[in-house]
Amino acid sequence: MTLWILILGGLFVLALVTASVKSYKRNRTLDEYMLAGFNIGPLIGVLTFAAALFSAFIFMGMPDMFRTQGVGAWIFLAVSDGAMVFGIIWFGYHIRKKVKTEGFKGVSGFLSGLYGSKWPGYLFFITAFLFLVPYAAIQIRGISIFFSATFAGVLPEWAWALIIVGIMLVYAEIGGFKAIVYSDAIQGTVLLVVIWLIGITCIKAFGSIESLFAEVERIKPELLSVPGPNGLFTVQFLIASFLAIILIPVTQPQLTTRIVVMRNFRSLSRMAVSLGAFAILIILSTVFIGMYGAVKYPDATTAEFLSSALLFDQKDMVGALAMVGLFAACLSTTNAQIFALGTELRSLLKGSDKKVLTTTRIGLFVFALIALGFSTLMSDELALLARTSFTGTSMMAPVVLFAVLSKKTPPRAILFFSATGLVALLLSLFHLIPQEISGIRLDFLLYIYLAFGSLAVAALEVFRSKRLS
Amino acid sequence: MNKTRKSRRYNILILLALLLSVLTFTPLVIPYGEYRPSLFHLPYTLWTGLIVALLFVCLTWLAVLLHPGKKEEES
Repeated sequence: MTLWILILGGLFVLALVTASVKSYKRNRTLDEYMLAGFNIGPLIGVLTFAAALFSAFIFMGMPDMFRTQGVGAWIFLAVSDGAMVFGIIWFGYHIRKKVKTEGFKGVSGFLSGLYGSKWPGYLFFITAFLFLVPYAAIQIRGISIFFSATFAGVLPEWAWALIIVGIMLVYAEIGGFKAIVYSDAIQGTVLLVVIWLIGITCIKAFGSIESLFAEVERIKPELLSVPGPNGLFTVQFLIASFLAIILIPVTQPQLTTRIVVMRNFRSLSRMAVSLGAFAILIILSTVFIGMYGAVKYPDATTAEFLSSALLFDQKDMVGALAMVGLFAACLSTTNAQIFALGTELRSLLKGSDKKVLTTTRIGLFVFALIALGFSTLMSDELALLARTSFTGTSMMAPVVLFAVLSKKTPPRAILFFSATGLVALLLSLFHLIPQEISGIRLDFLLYIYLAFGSLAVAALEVFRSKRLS
Repeated sequence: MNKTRKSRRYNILILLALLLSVLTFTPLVIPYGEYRPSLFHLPYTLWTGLIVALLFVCLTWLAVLLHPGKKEEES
């Protein structure tokens, strides 16, 4: 397998270098460096969106979630992703319309401009920082535990993490957003191919899909229905996850930016439909890998299960491709998140292009170092940690939606609801307030709070404008 | 097709997407503790969930075709 890893890994690094060099231009503008000149077509669009969205969390988190929590994981992610792509068309149209008149450097700056105040931008940036850094750290953590479990004794976990962050920083600093988008396209393709090669091997190990599910039914039938063996997939959990996931394009800046930089609405539309199909394909394969693990490795740890199912039970070439695919998935999501923080920072800065670019590049380096530090503190529950990131940023949805949908200056009162929602969520994550009140999950309650808050603010605005007219 | 009719059809699609979202969280798609009837050997929640996800993608495709602001945005 080592030879295959060297060959495929070498080809992958060569592709990354090519993407960086092709994207490098000596006299490029700041918009070319940070936003690829707003000219991304549908094919590259779907691959970069998928690579930024589907990460180590899909590759490692989802098979493990299917293995330990059961088929409810399909509702948790695939159904929510289906609804999310519908939302991309709706939200994409409105934000792109606004961007045409207001311009766009990053979501934070965009919000500050529309609200006529720096505070919405700061609030969005702080939220993105608080929830994207741990999310990026999850990817780094995921891949480093996997690599150190696979190559026991070769390098410690922190060294693997350092290698990933190092590669990511080099090509992001050289090639900018365009290099990231091209490398995402390579990584998205590798991810789809490798996950299906592994999925097919897992089905073949049992002869057919029927035999695979029959075996799961014999061993642990609770995996075949909700709420699953540990009772995770309750209706409340699934609804709260659904809301967090459909709001990803609205509140996770790396994805909002990818909607804005699409060449035109036609490209965005094609990207959204293809993304839906891509999501179903990729998540379907993780069902089979997870069910395979439920039968073969029911009591194994996450790292043991993943290294066996993804590597050692595969043919050498597939195992090597899995290593490269995992590395690619981790790299693409991490760089999308770190670069998005750089874009957000840039959108809040003022001064000459040269000065802003230098500060942004230093910012990228600092964000990457913080994510690296965090990665040593994370737990192994990748899918649930990713969900926490989605939930956290989704608290900003009312602020973004009011900005995008309001015809006049959006009402600043909405900031109060999003900010208090964010504070309540943070307090619950640090166990300073309960995560459940009278049997109702706090995240579920917070969505109700934000919905009523938004309705109240909207009603007040209508009343005010009627009185003025 | 004129813009008003397109707009009405697009709004119907939004309503259908909302309805589908609500139905997903009812026992029609996620009955507690039930995994039968199966379809092509897939447990109940998995195959109904697969249909729901595919329906969302179909709705997205239709929304693209019937989007009232499609031409306006491109120009």
